[in-house]
Amino acid sequence: MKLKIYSFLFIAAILCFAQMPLSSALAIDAEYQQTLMRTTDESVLIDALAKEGESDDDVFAKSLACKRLAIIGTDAAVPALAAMLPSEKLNVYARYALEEIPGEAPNAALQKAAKELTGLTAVGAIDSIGVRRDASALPLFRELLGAAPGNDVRKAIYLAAGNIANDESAALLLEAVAGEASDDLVVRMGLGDAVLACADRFEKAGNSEKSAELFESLVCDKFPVCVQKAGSYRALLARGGVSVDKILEKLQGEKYCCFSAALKTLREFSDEDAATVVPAVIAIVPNLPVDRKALVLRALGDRKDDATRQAMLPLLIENLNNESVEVQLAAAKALANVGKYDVEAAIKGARAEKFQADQAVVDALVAAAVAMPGDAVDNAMLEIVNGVTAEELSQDAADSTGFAAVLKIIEERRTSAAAPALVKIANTPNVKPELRNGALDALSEIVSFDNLSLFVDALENESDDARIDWLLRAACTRLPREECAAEIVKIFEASDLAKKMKLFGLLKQIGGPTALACVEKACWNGETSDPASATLGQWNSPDDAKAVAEACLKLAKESKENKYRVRGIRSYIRIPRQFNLPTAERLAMCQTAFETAVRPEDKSLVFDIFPRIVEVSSAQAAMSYAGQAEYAEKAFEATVIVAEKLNLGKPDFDWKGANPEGASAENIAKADAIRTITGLMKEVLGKTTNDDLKGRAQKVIDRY
Amino acid sequence: MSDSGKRPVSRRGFLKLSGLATAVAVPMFLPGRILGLNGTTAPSARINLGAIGIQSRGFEDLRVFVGREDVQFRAICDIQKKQREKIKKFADEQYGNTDCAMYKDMEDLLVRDDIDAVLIATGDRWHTMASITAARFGKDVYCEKPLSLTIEESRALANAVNRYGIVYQAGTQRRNIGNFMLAAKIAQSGKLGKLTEVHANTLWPATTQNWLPAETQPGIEECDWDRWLGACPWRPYNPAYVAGAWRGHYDFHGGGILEWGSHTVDLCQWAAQKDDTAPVRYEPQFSEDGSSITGVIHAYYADGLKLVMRESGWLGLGTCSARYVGEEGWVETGDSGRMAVSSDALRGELKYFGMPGTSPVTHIAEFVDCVKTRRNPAANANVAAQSHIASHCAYIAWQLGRPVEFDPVAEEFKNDADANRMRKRPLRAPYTL
Repeated sequence: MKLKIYSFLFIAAILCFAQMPLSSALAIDAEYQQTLMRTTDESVLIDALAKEGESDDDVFAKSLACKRLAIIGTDAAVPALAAMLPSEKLNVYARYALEEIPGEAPNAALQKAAKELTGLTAVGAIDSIGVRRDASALPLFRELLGAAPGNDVRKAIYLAAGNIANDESAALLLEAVAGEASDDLVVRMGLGDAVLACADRFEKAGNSEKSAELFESLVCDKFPVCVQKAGSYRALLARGGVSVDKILEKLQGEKYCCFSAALKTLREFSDEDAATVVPAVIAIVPNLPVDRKALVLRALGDRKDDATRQAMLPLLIENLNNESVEVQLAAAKALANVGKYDVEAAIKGARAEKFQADQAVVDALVAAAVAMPGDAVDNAMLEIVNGVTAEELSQDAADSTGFAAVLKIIEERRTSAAAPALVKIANTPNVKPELRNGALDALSEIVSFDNLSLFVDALENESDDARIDWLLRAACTRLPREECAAEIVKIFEASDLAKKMKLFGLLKQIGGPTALACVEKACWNGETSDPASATLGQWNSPDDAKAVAEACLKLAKESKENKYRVRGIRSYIRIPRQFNLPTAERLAMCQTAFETAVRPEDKSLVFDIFPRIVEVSSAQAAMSYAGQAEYAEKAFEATVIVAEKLNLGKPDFDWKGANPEGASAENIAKADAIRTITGLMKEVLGKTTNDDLKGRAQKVIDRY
Repeated sequence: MSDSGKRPVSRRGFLKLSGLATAVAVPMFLPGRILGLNGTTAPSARINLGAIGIQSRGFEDLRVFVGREDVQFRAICDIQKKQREKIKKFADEQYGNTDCAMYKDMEDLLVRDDIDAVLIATGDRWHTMASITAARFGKDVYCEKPLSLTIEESRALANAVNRYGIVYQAGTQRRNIGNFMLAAKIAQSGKLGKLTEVHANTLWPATTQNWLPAETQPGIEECDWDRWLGACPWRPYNPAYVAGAWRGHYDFHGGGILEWGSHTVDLCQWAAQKDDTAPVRYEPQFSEDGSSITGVIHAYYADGLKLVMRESGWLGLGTCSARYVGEEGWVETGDSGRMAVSSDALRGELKYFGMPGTSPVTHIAEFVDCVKTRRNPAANANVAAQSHIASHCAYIAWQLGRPVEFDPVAEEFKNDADANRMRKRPLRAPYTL
């Protein structure tokens, strides 16, 4: 329930932002704002930047200009942008454009700022140099480092050098690794991060020698453990081949960070290396501590190459009997990936004592058996369920975890030949509840149309309504819809009232004409009309939309009880609101609903539909109700919301004048749409008494 | 799980040198549950969790983490005092102690040696930066979606995760929810025939550049506005942002395509086995008469497969729906757990599911397993980055109002300077990717 509430709130928040007015709360003229956001004239933007001041309005206008310059700016804008770099508020906005404008002018401006500014504004400029990968800044970086800058600047220089990633910046970084004396963790982490970034780029460029040198430079106590681990792990892979000795050393070494790095490597080395690495690792597995052993089994089990899988199988089977549950679990989980080479292993596992063990291990072994290809597992499970005795199923029997697992395997594999045996188990007197449940669960997954009645019979002794509902839904999900509906309708018609009440939800889930006809018929039967009409109001099969609408409308018009007439019209209104029908049909339904509804609160619901149909015709339809005084303001609001959401393109001529000769159909359509919408907004402006709505209508007009 | 390796600089030293020193509550007494008594999970097998920026969705996640025997929640970081205190109260009540530590700045939490992993559920603007920062401290990360606001951020996050070898799970939980898993399996099995289209449920794309009016800033301990902004450009304080009205603002939000595309485009990429790439062409769609742009984007992969991002036209199977269409049939599913297929023949493949698509339970379970085993989770940074990049490309095409061509390897738009200049945003100092 909480998740449903959360979902509702989340969607409500999204819808709110979708309808948010496009104007600012600041004192910037809307037209000027639009100009700053859309102009293709760079000089307008440069002029905006030239205005002095840092009031909120000033910064807002400059922010828009900078973001636009990020897309259309040229060298001409650089001086105005550079002038903003010393400001802590404006620095980042200037960099929007400076990072994007091509050519040398932004590089020079940023270098100048990096040299002359201090603190965060300098850091911003240096970061942008790194983003632009401006290698000409490297001598400046050396100069700045030589002047013992603050920690933030120092770190920024390292990170920028890491991004530039050429021989010169790599040299700078390696010198820094050797010489950096700061005990500040921020600086050391920054340097480590820069070296990793630099090494990454060299690796991607194919220079594995340089990347390995950089990675290896990090494996020293100068750096935090996580940086050492990163360097260690990446160095293992960087040279293209894998050093077996290094992997074994790290897997058995004292440092957990190195073990962890090697563990990750086990999943990632190439298939070619598997032939040498895997046997060597397997050889040390028995000597590893329990926790490491489990992790290594899982890591090797995740590899997909044939060599590893073949080598792993005996080890995994052996470790299913390990004293440690942790190791058993790791082996069982790995078996699901590699076991396909030996189906017999899974079958043995299914019958082994392991099934009496930890439930997590049981679940993992079930998963392994489910993953086995071929029919050998199915045959083995059939043999078990066909051979089970009433004593073994009885509540007096010993632990039944193993047999429950067999039932689960049949369920997951959908072993259809087990159906008769499962019915027999479910109907066995004095059967353990968990085994009866397991049999019914499995049956719901394998039931066919031919033996649906068999399944229904097996449910006869089931007293838990929620469970019956679940099992029937599970079964009906898979069966051919109309035949399944016909069968359930037969059951429905033969049922007493109590049972009928339980079947409405199932009929809704099945959907389609047969199920719908049954529910519609029940709407007109006194004893079932309440749950049936409620079900109609929740029907959610989209291909039934029109038929449901007709049924709801009939209820709204012809029911003798007011309660059902109201329910009928509200259910009818749901159809154009929720279902994706052609716009003309949805708008026609709105009209029918408005005319049919009697209560004002029901008529008002129609105005919630228009904002969901973002088309010019929807705005026109909403406005068509403005003549009815009681609903005029609702009509205005719906019209404005649609207009706000519409994103009309502009024609390549002035739409305020006549369409020029030779104009394309597309441009004429754009002009017509704008004329219609602005016309509607002017009508709202002239008629509404709501000042907020007037403002919003005016802003829509201003857009065009 | 914590590393026993020696740090070159102590945490206290870090705090002092970086000017981040705050009062830190380190538990003095460990309850039996933590010590592995009473048959519960031993501490060596328990993940020590911190959380950053927890509100509604994050709280749902946190409740799942705290409910697990193999997780010990130890610390909360939030720029709002009332949120810090709320989460601490919850945690302390759950554990029956007063151990949950509170921090205003995430570095103070991340520098703790005894924290293995973090749950990040800040507003979208902080997702990339907080995740990268956590990676730099070697912490594993479960981060709510979307993971990024730009193409550049998407790649930078994946790079950081790969560099530091951390386990990263994006909060795109549908990769671990039965009906979505089965729908993807059906699409991949060939039972639909050759896939021709995949459809992702997205929302109206627009964002706004506007600002809310300035209001008086509260004290830094109550709500640290500068820290709330993080790497985003400066703007004046307004409490509505902090309360959640940041959604829809361009500086803080990636728009409606990303909002749900981070889930549904991701599902489509997964089902189509395109986790390592992105579409190469994006076409915004217009109304029939060409007068207005719609929220629909058609995108095409290099092999011709079509990705349709659309708000409407769904079967009503719940939010975040996805549909996979092949030459011989289709399957559609959504957050209700229900599934629909094109024919009775395909109904035989279906299964009934009761778990809503919004539940993070199984996704978090996979994350915890991966933290223990160092496996790469289903919604790892590499696959999430690709689906986010696809969503960002679609939004760029929508903003430009015209088709764009994209090279998923170079991560550049082809011959399109305008689009290429929209791939990233600068970060306010001192934040860096």
